[in-house]
Amino acid sequence: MEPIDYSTYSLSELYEARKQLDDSMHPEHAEILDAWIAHRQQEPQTASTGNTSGVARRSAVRFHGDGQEFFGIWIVNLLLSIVTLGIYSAWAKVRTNRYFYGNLEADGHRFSYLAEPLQILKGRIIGLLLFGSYFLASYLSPFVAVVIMLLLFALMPVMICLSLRFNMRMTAYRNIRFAFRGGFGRAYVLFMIYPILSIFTFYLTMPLVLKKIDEFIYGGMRFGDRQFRTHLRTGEYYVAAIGTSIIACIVATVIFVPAAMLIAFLAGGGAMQEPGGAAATGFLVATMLVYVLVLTVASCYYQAQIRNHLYNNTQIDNVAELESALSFWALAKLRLVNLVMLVCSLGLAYPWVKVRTAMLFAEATHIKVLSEADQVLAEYSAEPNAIAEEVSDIFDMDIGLT
Amino acid sequence: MRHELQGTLYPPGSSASCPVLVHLCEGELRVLVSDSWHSYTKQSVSSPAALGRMPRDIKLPDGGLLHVPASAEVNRWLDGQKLSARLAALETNRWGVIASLVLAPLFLFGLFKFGIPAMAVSFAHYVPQAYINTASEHTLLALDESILEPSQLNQATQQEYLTYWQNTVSRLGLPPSRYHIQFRHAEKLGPNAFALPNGTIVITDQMVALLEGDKQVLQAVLLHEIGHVEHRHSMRLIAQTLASSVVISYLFGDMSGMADLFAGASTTLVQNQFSQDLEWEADNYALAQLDKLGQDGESFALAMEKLASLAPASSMERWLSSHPMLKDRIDNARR
Repeated sequence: MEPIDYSTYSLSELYEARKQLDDSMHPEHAEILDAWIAHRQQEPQTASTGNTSGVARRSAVRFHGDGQEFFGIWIVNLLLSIVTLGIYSAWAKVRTNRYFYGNLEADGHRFSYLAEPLQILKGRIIGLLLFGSYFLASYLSPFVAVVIMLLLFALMPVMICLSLRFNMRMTAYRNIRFAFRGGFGRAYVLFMIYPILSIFTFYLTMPLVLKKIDEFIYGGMRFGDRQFRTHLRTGEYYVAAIGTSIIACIVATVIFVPAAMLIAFLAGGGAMQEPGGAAATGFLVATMLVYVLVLTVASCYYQAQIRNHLYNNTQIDNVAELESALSFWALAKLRLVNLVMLVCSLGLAYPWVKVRTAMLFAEATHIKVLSEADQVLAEYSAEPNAIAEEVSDIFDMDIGLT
Repeated sequence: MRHELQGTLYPPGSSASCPVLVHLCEGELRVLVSDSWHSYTKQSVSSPAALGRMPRDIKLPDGGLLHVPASAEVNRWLDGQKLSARLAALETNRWGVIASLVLAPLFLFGLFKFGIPAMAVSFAHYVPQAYINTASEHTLLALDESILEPSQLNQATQQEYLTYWQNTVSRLGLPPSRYHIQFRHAEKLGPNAFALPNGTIVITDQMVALLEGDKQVLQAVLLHEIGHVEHRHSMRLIAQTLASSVVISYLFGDMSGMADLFAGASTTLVQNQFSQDLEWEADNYALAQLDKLGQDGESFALAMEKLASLAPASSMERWLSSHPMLKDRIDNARR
C-alpha cells in the first residue's frame, strides 16, 4: 500500500480514513493517521494561543443575508401574521431579527438574537392593552388625554432604558450576551432635563446633549464582563449638525425652486381642468417630496459622520476596537435608491432594501480584535422581559441606534 | 444513521471557541472535544427553526453553544416535524412564497375593507352611554375654550331654527331630547356643522350665513350629522383608527427609516377611506330621512354646492381628504 499524504486532509476526512482502515493489516498507516488526527485537534488551541500574544488583528465585518431569501421569509411571515390577526407577528419579529443578527459575521463569528417569540407576544399584549386604554381615555376627554401625555412623557426615559436593556441582553456574540448598565437617574437628566434646557439656548446646545446621550448609550454597554468605553468629542457633533443644516438648505433650494416654477407654469398655463386645485395639490405633493428628500439626504450626512466618530472612538476593554468608514455619498445613494425601489415596487422591494442597507453598514465596519477576545466571561443576570420594549414600540418611544 | 460534520463549539461561560467534529446520530448528538466524545440526547439540545441558509445555533444543556453549517440533513435532524419548522419551511418553498405573495395583499385588503369595519360596528355597540356622554361634554367644553365663541345670532332666529328642527325630529319619530342644536360663532372654523356622539349638534353662525337662512337646506345638513350619531360613527372611527394603527404597526412595524414614512402615509390613506365610508353612510341616511319627509335630495345637493363654492377641489383629494369629493356627493343626492 502506497503511503498517503494526509497533510491535505481535514479532521473529518482523517476520522473517515481512520474508521475505514484495518489496524491489523496496516498498523503503520494507523499510527500516521493517529498522529495527524492528534495534530489537527491541536490546531485550534495553538491558533487561539497565537491570538493571546497581544497582537491585534483587523477583521472585516460581513453580512451574509440575501434579498431573495429574506423576501421569502418576509412575505410568508406577513401572510401568517395577517391570518392569525397579528399573533404570529411576534414570531415574525423574532425570525426577522434572528436573520439579520445571525447573518452578521465579525472575525469569523456570528451574532445571535436570543429573544423568544412568546416573550415578545406577552410584551405585545401588554403594550396593546395599555395603548388601547390610552387611546380610549384620550377620546374620553381632551383633559384626560393631556394628563396621559404628560405621564407618558415622564415615563419615557425609563422605557428607553428598559428597552435598551432588553435588546442588549437579547444580543449575543461568541455565546456571550451583551448588556446595558445605564441608570434611570442619568436617563432622566439626558432625555428630559437637558433637551428642555437646550430649548432656552435656542437648541444651540443640542449637539452637546446628543453627544452626552451617545456616551450614555454606548458607554453603558457591556459585552460579558467587559465594559464599552467611548472617547467622544463635542466638536464632531457640532460639525455634523452644522454640515447637516447646510446640506438641508442646499438640497431644499435645488429641488424646491424648479418644482415651484413647474407648478406655477402648469397652473398659469391652464393645462389642467381644475387649475386652482391642481396647483394646490401639486404644491402639497412637491412640499412633501422636498421634505422627504431633504430629510433623507441631510440625515445621511449626520448619521455617517456620527457613526464614524462613535465607532472609531469606542472600544471594549482588551477585546476589540471598532472602526467605521461610512461614506456620506454611499449612504445617501443607498437611501435614495431604497426610496425609489420602495415606491416603484409598492413596498414589495422592502426585503432587498433591508438587506442592501445591512450590507452597506457591515462593509463600512471593521473590528480590531485585541488580545483577550476569547477570554471574555459571561455575566449572569435575571432574564429580562419584553414589556418595556413592546410598550415603547407601540407608543413610538424608541430611539434609533446608529 | 449517522451524519458527520464540522462545527464550532462555544463552551459555556466564556468567549472561547474551538472547531469540533459533530456526529448527528439517531436520538443523539455527539461532539468530539480534545480527544473525548461528549454525548447529548436529542431532547436535551434545542435550536430555533431553520432560517434560510443561515448556519444553525444548537443550544447545549450545559449552556454551551454549537454552531454548525445548515444543510438538509442537519435541518431534518434538528427540526423534525415541529409546527414552527413546517411553517418555516414555507419560507424557502417556492409555492409557499408565491401563495403568500398573492394571498397577503388579498387578505390585507379584506382585513381593512371588511374585517376591521365589522369589528368596529360591534365594538361601537358595547361602548357605555356614560363614556359617550362624558366624551361629548368634554369635547364641547374644550372646543368652547379654544375655537368656538357664543353665537351672534339673535334669540328669535335661533328659536325659529329650533322649532323647525323639533318639528322635523318629531315627524321622523326620533327621540327629541337627544338631538339638540347648539349655535356657535367660529371665525377660524368657518361654515361647519358637526355632531357630538351624544347627539348634540353644533352649527356655526358662518354655516347659517352660508346657507342664507334656508331652513330646508340646513335641515338636510343636520340630518347628515344625525346619521353620524345614529350609526355611532364616532365610536366606530375610534375603533377603526385604533385597530388599523395597531395592525399597521405590528405588521410593518419593523420597517425602519424611510419605510416609516410609508407606514404613516398608509395609515392616513386607510383612515381617510374609513372616514369617507362613514360620510357616505351619513349622506345616505340623510337622503333616506328626506325621502321620509316627502322631500327629494335637492336641498342636500344645494348645501353641498354651497360648500363646494368655498374651496375648489382637485382629483388628488379623493385620497388625501377625510371626506368624499363634494361633486360625487352632489351627484349622489340628485340621483
